[in-house]
Amino acid sequence: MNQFFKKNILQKFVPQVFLCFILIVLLCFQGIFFIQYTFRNLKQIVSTTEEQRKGRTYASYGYDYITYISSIIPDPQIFPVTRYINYSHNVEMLLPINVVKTDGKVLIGINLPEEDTKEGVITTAHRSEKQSDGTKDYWAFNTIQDYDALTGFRFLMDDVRFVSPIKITLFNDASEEKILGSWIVEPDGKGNKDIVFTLPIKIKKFSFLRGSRDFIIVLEQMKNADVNILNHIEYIEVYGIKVNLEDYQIVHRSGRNFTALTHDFLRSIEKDDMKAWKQFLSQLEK
Amino acid sequence: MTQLIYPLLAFFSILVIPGIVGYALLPKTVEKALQWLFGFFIIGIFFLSAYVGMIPQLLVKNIGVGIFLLCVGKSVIQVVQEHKHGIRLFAVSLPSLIIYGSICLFLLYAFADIYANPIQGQDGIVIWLGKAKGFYYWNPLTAISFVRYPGLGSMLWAVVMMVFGLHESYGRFIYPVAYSMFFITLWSSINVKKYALSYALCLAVLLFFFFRPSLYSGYQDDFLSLTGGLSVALFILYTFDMKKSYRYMLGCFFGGSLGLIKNEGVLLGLIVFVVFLLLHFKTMRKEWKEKSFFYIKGILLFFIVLGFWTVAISLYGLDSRNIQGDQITLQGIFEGYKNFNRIPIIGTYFYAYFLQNPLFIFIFLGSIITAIVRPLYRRTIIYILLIIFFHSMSIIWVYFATTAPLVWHLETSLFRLMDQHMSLYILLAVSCIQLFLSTKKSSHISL
Repeated sequence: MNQFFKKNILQKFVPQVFLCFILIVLLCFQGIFFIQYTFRNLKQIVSTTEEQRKGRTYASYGYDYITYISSIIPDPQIFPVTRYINYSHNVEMLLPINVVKTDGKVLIGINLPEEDTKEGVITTAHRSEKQSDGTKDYWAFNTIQDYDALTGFRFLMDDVRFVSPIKITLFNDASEEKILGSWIVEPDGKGNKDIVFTLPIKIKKFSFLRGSRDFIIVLEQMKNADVNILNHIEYIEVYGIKVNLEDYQIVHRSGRNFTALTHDFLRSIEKDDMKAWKQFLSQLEK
Repeated sequence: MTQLIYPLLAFFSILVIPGIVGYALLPKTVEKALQWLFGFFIIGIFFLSAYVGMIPQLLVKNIGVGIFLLCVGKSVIQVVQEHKHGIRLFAVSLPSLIIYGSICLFLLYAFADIYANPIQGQDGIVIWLGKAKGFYYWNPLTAISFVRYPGLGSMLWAVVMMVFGLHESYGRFIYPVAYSMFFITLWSSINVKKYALSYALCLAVLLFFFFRPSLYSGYQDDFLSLTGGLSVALFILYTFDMKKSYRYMLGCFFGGSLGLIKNEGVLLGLIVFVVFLLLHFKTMRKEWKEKSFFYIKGILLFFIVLGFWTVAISLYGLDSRNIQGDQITLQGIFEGYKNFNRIPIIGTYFYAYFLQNPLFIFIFLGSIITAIVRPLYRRTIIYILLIIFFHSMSIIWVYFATTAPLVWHLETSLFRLMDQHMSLYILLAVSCIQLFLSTKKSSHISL
C-alpha cells in the first residue's frame, strides 16, 4: 500500500496536479487579459466605421485631407506627390485606388510649417571615421528626413582665417562611388572666419528615403599655404530646402495642409481650357 | 452589428476554404491542420506563379474558382465515404476542449484587434501592403514595390482582398489563423495519451505566451518563423515515424516555401534542410536503396519551391544579387570578414535582445538539460539548436556585410530578425515539457 502510494500518488499524480494547477492559473491570467482587450476592440468596431478608424489612426499622415483631394482630382491617373515634415508615409498604399506612380503636377503638403518651404540649415556635418591624410579631409552628415534641394554650405573656422581656396567634393555615401557635385570655394578676400558658400546650381531631388546613411564631403586644400586650413575648420553647416515650392503655386490651404499645382500645369489648364481641372480648382476655392 | 457580418464572413472563409483545398488534395491520413496549411500555401503559390506568368487576372480567378469547386466536390465525396455511418458531432475530450477553446479565444481576440486597429508600421505598409495591392490590381511585375523581395504572404493577403474587396484588414486575418493551425498541428500530430491534459494546457499557455501583435502587423517575420517551425516539426516527426512519408514531403514543401516569403527565408530554408539531411544522413543511408527516388523527389521539391522567386525575377531581367538595394549585396557578404571589428557593437544588441526575452534563455537551458537527461530527445534538440545557432551566425554576418550605418541597421532589424526563431523556441519548449510529462525513457510523446 505504502509502495503503491509512493509510486502512483507521490511520483505521478502529485506532480501532474501541481503542473496542471500552475498552467491553469497562467491560462486564466492570460485569458482575462485577452477577453478584456477583445471586448474593448469589439466595442470600438460597433461604435465606429472603418473609415473613421482609419482617419483617426492616420491623422498625422493627413489621411482625411489626402482622401478628399484625391477624390476630386479629375484624372484618375494622377495621384499627387505628398510631402511631410519628415519623410514620405506612402498614404496612397492605404487608399482604395491603384497608384503605380505619383505625379509631380500636383503636390500635397501635410502639416508643413512655412519655414520648411524655404532655405534653412539641414544639419551640421561631423568629421568622418576615415582619417585625414593631410591633403584630404573627410566629413559626413546624414539627413534622415526628405529634402528637395541642397543649396550650400557654411564653414566656420577656429582662430585661423580662411585664406586659400578649397575643393569640396560631395559623395552619395561612404563607398565614394557616386559624386553628387564638386566645387571650389574661394576665400572672400576679407579673411573672414565664417564662410557661406552657395551652390551655383542647386542639387535637386537631393535626399529621399535615406535613413541615416551618411553623405560624405571630401575637402582638399588647393594651394600650398603655410597653414593647412583643413585642420582649422570647426564645423560645416549644410543648407537646403525641405519642400521646394519655387515651381508650384498653392491653390488650397487647410490649416497646415496645402495643395499646390505646378506653374506649367496651371498655365496649360488656362491655355487648353481644361474644364474638369477648372472645376477642381473652383471646388477647392469653395 | 451589421458592420461585423462582412469581415466575419471573410474570417470564416479563411478558416474554411484552404481546409477544403488541402483536404481534397492530400491523403486523408494527413492531419487536418496540415491539410489546411497545405491548402493555404498552395493557393498562394498558384496565384503567385500565375502572376509571374502574367496570365490575365480574370482567367486566373475563373480557373481558381473552378479548381475550388472541384475540391469541394471531391471533399464532399470523401466525407460521405469516410462517415458512412454518420458523423459523431460531440466526440470532444477535456484536453481538446482546452486547446480548441483557447484557439477560439485567440482567434476572436486577433479578429477584433485587426479589424479595430488599421495597419501601422512603415515597412508593413510600404513593402508588404504595397505588394499586396500590386498583386490585387495585377500590376506588372516590374511595377511592384520592392520587387526583389518575394511575396507569398502578400499574395495570400491579396487573394483575400480579391474575394472580399480592398480591405487591408481582411487580408491580415490569414496570419492568426495560420498561427493557430501551427498549434493544432503540434496538438494533433503528437500522440500524448495519458498526459493529454497537461500537454493541452502547456500548448494553450504557449499559444498565448508566444503570440505578439507583430504576427499580423503586415511584417512577414513571424509568418516566416511559423513556416520554418512547421518544416522543422515535420522533419522531426518524420524521423520518429518514417512510415508517415508525407511528413518528409510536406517538410520539404514548407521548407522551400520559406524562400517565397522573404529573402532571409532562402537562408533559413537552406539551414533547416541541410542540417536535417546531415543529422539524419546515417538513418537515411540505410533506407537509401529502397527509397532513393522518394528522397530525391523531396530534395527537388525543396529546391524548386525555394528558388522559384529568384529564377522568376531573373527572367524579368532583375538582378537578384542585390539582395536589399545597395545596402546588402552578395559581394558585400563575401567581404564581411573585413568588418570583424563590429563584433562588440553587435554583441551589445544581442545582449539587449536576450535581456528583453529572458524566457528564451530558460527554454534554451531547459532544452540542454532535457537533452542530457533524456537521450531519446537529444537529436531533436540538437537539430533545433543547430538551426538557431547557424541562423544567428548568418544574421551576425549580415551586419558584417551591411553598408548602411551599423547602429541604425541593428536598431531597426535585429530584434525582428531574431524573432524569426520564435517557433523554434516553441518546439524547444514542447521538447522540455516532455521532461516533466514522461517518467520513462521512452515516451508516448514523440517530438
